[in-house]
Amino acid sequence: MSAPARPETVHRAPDPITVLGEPPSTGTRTLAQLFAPHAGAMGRGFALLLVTNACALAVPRLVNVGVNLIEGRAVQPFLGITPSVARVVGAIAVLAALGAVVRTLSRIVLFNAGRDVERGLRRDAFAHLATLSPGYFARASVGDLMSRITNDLTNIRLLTGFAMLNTLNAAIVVVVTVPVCLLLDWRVALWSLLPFPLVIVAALLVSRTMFRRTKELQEATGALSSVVQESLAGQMVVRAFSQESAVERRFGGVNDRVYDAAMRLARVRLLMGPLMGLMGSFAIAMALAQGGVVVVQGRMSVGDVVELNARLLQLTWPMIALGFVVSVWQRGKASLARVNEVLAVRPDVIDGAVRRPAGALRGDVALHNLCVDVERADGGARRVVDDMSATIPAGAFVGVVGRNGAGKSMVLKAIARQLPVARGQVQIDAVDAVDWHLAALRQAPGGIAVVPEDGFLFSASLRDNLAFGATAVTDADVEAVVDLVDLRRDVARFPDGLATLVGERGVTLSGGQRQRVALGRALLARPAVLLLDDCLSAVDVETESNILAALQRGFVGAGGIVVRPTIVMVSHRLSALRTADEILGLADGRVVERGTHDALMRAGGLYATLWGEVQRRAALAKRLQAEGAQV
Amino acid sequence: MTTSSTASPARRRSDGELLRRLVRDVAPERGLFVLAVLLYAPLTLLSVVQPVVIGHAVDDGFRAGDTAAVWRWAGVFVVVVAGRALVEAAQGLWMQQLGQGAVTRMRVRLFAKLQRLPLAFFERQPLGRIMTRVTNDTESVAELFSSGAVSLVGDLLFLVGTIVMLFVVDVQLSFAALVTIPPLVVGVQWFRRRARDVFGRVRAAQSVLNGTLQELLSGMAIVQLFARVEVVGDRLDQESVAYTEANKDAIFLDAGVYSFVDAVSVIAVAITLAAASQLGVRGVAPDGALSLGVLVAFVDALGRFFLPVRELSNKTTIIQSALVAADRIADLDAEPETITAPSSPRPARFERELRLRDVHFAYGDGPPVLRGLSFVAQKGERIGIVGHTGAGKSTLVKLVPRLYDVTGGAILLDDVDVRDLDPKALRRLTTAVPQETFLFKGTIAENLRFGAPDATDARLLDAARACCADDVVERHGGLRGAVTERGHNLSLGERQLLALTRALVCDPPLVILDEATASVDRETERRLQLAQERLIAGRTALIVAHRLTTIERCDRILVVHEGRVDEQGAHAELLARGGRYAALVELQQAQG
Repeated sequence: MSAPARPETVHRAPDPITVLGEPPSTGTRTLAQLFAPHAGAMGRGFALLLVTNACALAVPRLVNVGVNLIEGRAVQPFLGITPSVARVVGAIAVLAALGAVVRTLSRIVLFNAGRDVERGLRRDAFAHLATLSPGYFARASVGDLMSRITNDLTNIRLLTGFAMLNTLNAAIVVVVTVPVCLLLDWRVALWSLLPFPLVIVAALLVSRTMFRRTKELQEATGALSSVVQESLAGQMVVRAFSQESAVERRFGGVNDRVYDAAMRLARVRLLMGPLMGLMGSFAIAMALAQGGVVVVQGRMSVGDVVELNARLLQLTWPMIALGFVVSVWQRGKASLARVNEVLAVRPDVIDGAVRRPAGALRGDVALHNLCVDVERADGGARRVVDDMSATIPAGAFVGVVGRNGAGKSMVLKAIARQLPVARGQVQIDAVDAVDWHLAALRQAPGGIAVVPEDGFLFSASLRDNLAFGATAVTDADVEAVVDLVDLRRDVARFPDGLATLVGERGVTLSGGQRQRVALGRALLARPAVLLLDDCLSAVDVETESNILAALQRGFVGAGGIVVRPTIVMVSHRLSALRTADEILGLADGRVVERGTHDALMRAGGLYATLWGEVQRRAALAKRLQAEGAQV
Repeated sequence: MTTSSTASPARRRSDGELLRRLVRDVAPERGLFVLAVLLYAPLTLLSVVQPVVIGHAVDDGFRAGDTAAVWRWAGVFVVVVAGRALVEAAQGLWMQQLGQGAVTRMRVRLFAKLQRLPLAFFERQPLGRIMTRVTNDTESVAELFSSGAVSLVGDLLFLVGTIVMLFVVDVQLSFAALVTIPPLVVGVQWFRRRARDVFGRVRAAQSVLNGTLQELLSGMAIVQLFARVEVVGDRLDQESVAYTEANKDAIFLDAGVYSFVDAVSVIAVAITLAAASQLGVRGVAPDGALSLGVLVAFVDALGRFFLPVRELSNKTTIIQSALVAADRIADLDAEPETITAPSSPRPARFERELRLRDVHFAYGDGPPVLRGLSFVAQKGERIGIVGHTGAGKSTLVKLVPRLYDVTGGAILLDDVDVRDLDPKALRRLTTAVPQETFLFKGTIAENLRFGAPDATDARLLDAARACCADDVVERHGGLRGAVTERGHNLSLGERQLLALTRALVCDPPLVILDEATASVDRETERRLQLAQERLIAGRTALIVAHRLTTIERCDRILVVHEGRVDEQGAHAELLARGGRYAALVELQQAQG
């Protein structure tokens, strides 16, 4: 009933960009901290276990007495009560019923505590991850994080639930059973208990091997999944090149690996059951042989042997469980360490304390000698934005151009506080960006909104995606934004209109549709500052200029309020920036020129060069056209 | 992978039909199957005989005061338990081998099936769901064997065997002890019914929770940018609570059934003692008919009898989900394969021309994409295809190599309908280069050799040089250099260069190229153009063109509009006409 285990991905140590002077993270958890909030439950669980074991462990003695009575032996009164078969039977029935109720409660209390630990840690882990910047998620793989929040949490839960219950239970059973057996007849008891240390050792070894082989199987299954996923995603290519059989051979290879791993795991598991059973049976054989001889000598009754037999059976499972507890414990601790690695990552973008006064931001953005460094693959840093300054008054439209890798997107990320910036470099509404409370800065309506090039959409309805960032939007607001970003015709074609599910589990949108939905999502948030990162590259020119014109004029946003945001737009399509108040030309992270379209064209720098490239292509076409006309 | 297994518990096939299918998958190892099933007999016998041996030890040894008999019966007991362990291990392993073998074959079958299904199938279904069939669902069936659920048969035989044994040993005592069975059955049934719901809820809640988690981690930047951390955090926690609560219900049921069965087994012993005391033991009570050994045997047997019952509900749950999975696997098996090789394919040749005759096409039930497209490409001709987005140009890349079948009209290669050719032979004549480049995880050589497995390294390097990709190869560690999943370790431009090289290695007479539109830097752009030029040099080429420079080099240009050829002719000729082509060119210029 535990969650099905998932293949674990290879662990990559998260390696945050550390900035001096950050407060140390206090996010990690020790085992004691995990247990502490549930100490009460653990205590109750232990008390209940004591009661249930008292019931269970009394039964063999009662059976012993019963058999002795039936055999016609004299039995000493117990607590002043003269035993009779009827009384014994009654007592057993009462203990069985009581034991069942208390046992149920004990398991509920302890296992539920494990589930609560799991849930709390999941919540904390997510809350912590939410404080980390996109830089972290670019380095960490989602698969690896998922594995930590699912598989590792399962291991930690087993440690707090399963391991706790079985350790306590085994302790109680051993502490009671072993002395009682020894008191029956110490020599017979010693012989009979002989196999049990072996059971513990065997269970320990077996559980370790099982764990290792389970991991092997998970890895093989993971490899199988990626082969299937890859070959399905690349079906077009596979078929175009007639490589179906090659792909099948490759699949066959990993499939055989899964078979081998499954069989290796099966072998150890299937040998374990009979082996453990056999050891328990050997104990009973010992009790039978040794006990029998002692009974013949008249030093033990048949009832005593029956009791011994029953006690040995009661001892078997706790012993096996104890072996497993050791490996559950080890795994749990290893998993906790893996979760702690995530919890220990310090956020590189630190929240400030300044909250927004009621109402929207004005939308003034100022950059003073902004520098942004990113981590290179070899661990060094590369400066991607170098000493950039700009004053962008509220309502202005500023374009950023440059060749690939010039640092254009990084400027937007710095303004949106998606990466760490030093004090004094970015100001929004005359407040240093470092001092702003992040949520206050981004909160709709009237905050900063960013539209990235590849708009990530959630597997929710189109409407919910559009309204994701907004608060209290009406259907009319959504309809208005659908028109604003020219989605009307697309929506009409979707099976359920605005209620159509998009994203992973719904209709797959085209690149242009996705971009327009992402833009619509930002516009519904009625932003005061709108950062557009080449976000209409897959939309045709005409539609793009219509949308941009509307934004520049100011549009009627949610709630009928006219919005005229400050716009900073990165674009490869120069025509989109023609109407910009200012265009910044970036090369290697530095602003090499700035001005309006006309001024930059006159200046004859980077912008004019880029524009010239466009023009040359156009001129070529015109020349061809002219030649064609002469032919 | 997470959003899967509990979508619809409704099954279309009966238990019987699904079990028959499963047995058919086991069929290749019929001998082992029969043997494994036959071993249930000695297994059951060696299990139920154990209490009888103990009873004999008591009667013949303990009570008779015969030490030798004690040792003898203890010896027999050891032999019995050792024999049972041996049979159990062997039988378990064989069953496992059968099950895993069957599942392994099942996966191969499903995967091969997927290679034969029309591409339309993949457009209809999300990739994740198809993945689930091949991975999770087969795993559910494998779980049937790996979890030991298949030993349910053995458990039932053990229960029946024990009851028979008890009645053989003593009828009256059996009636007394087995009075507990009806309440046991009723109780376990009660738990079982609830368990099915609860476990279903656990799995559903888990899949929702993991799906949300995965999505939120992937889209964390958006969540943060819209200041929605708290909102989604609350939603996640709600799902987490639902999952936790479902699990707590499962814990309750699990603990309940465990304790209930345990209590019933203890009460059965008590009832047996009461009955034994009524019957009286031989030699103790005046008219006692019962031997003490029989009583001891009963106590021992009842202690073991109930152990498998505790597992019963878990096992039936596993069996239920395996059957649901098997049903979905059967659905996939039943998917029709539409693009198949004709029974007697005609020889594939491309000596004269490729002709599209009134071609109609639509994706599934979608709107028509092509509506009567006709043109002829002479061998050696380069044809550029232009038109607005959504005009149906890219579809040609899929139709000519028959990745999809036309829904009307025909595509003819030297006057032979491509549907009359073996698809493999057809695809050796034509190489399609789709717009989205897809590289496979592996080495660069494996990727370049993808369409021509016999190509030598020298040939690969030649092709790379021709396609300006030699420095890409070099930069990434040569031909043995690693390509990660989907080529993520390469830049977009590098991937495109390798994809063009891959096509060149195939050396096809007919190339169908869908020019990539994604923005790359100027240098890469120049190299891509050159590589493209080298690929089509000396071949017949259909180029879905987006760059003016590419279009200019074509012998003829087709303007596709609304699924038909609207204009055709040479570049200059079309420009002079001032029609749709001229307008398109103008637009292209404006876009830069």
